[in-house]
Amino acid sequence: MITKEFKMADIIHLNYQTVSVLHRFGIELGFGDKTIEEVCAGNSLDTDFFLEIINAFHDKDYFPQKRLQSFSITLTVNYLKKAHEDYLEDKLPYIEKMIDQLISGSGKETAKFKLLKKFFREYEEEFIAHLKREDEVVFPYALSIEKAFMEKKKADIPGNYSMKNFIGEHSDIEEKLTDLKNIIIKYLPPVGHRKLFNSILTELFTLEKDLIDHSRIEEKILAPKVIEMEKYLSGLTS
Amino acid sequence: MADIRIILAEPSFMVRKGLSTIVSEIPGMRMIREIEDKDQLTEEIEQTDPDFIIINPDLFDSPDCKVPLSYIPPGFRKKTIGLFNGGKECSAFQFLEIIYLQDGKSTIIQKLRNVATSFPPSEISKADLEISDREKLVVKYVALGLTNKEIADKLFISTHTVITHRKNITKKLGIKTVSGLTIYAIMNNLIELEEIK
Repeated sequence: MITKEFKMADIIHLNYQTVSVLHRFGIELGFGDKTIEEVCAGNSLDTDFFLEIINAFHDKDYFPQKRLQSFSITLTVNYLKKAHEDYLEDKLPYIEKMIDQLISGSGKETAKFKLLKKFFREYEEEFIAHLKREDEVVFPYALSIEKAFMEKKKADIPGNYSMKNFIGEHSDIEEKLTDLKNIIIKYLPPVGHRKLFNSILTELFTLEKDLIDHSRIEEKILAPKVIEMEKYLSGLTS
Repeated sequence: MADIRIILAEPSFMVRKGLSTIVSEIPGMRMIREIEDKDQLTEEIEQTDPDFIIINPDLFDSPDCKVPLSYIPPGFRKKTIGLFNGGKECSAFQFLEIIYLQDGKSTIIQKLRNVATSFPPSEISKADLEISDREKLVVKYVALGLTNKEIADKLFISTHTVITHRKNITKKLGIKTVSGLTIYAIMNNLIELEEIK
């Protein structure tokens, strides 16, 4: 388990994909030999919260211990929104740009590569819709539950959405990503550009791993907290 | 080819990690969940629909090494593999196979492979073959946007058979979505680009 005494640099050596987590926290590289605690203090970040996120991201068996203490749903939601921005504004456009490069270099096979692009766009749309639903429905719901919890009164929430639904609806955008990888690996005609193909595949695999780790933060940190608050609230008499 | 998905219910962290590592080294098999607490077991099985469940009866503090049936949903009771500390006398009649903590790596892999090939037999042995002409036809019609019912009518088979074909196609190609299959069909000249709606 990663603790506050770790050097920040060592976390990246341990798992290079944590660079995107650091990026989402607004931490820039160049922290020398500073510890996590020192870097967090320097960036006005809550160290415990940073540790919880980085552990959940890095270790698939991590279970947060003290759920309702020390920090809020607001912090968690802000982090998750940052991650969504990162997918929308950075990761997806980057992959799309590389696919465009492939198309322009694909000669007489252009039609097939345009299909790949079309498929990628479909994946992208599904993915964006999924993120949008979280941004517009799930996160506001979580925040209103937290607000009600703080004020110790029943939440004023339309409908009967519960955080338990969230965990159920959370796993179906992966299919298209798997298809996308298989199409590139197995079924596209060879047209050279090996480096570009390698970069696209690497990005897709990295994205897939990052999404799994991202979902774990939502399922293990956000959802249990909200569910506990829901329980508390349903025990209140209105 | 779709992976064989396994759930492991075992109280010891070290044993869970060890067995998971071994499973991760067997191509075509995947540990999808590790469970340390018997109260999560039933729910996890129902949610993830695994192909096999490896269970250590110690999880239940059961004196005769039996897993209380109530924890295993009916459809999964014939899909369990026991995980035992070999020192104990155990009545093991309800398991497909027994793995002992003392087993070596190759023994464990062999036992898991045996279970996987014996059950369910059809899915495993066919999976490595190329897709058949019949399946190519189904891919073609799926790509053209036909429903399962329409495909069934065209090929004079039942909808159920079409669904079986589609499952096998997904297993063989590694492609699940309709738009993915459409791309496959075009790449392999099963249909022309102009034919898609």
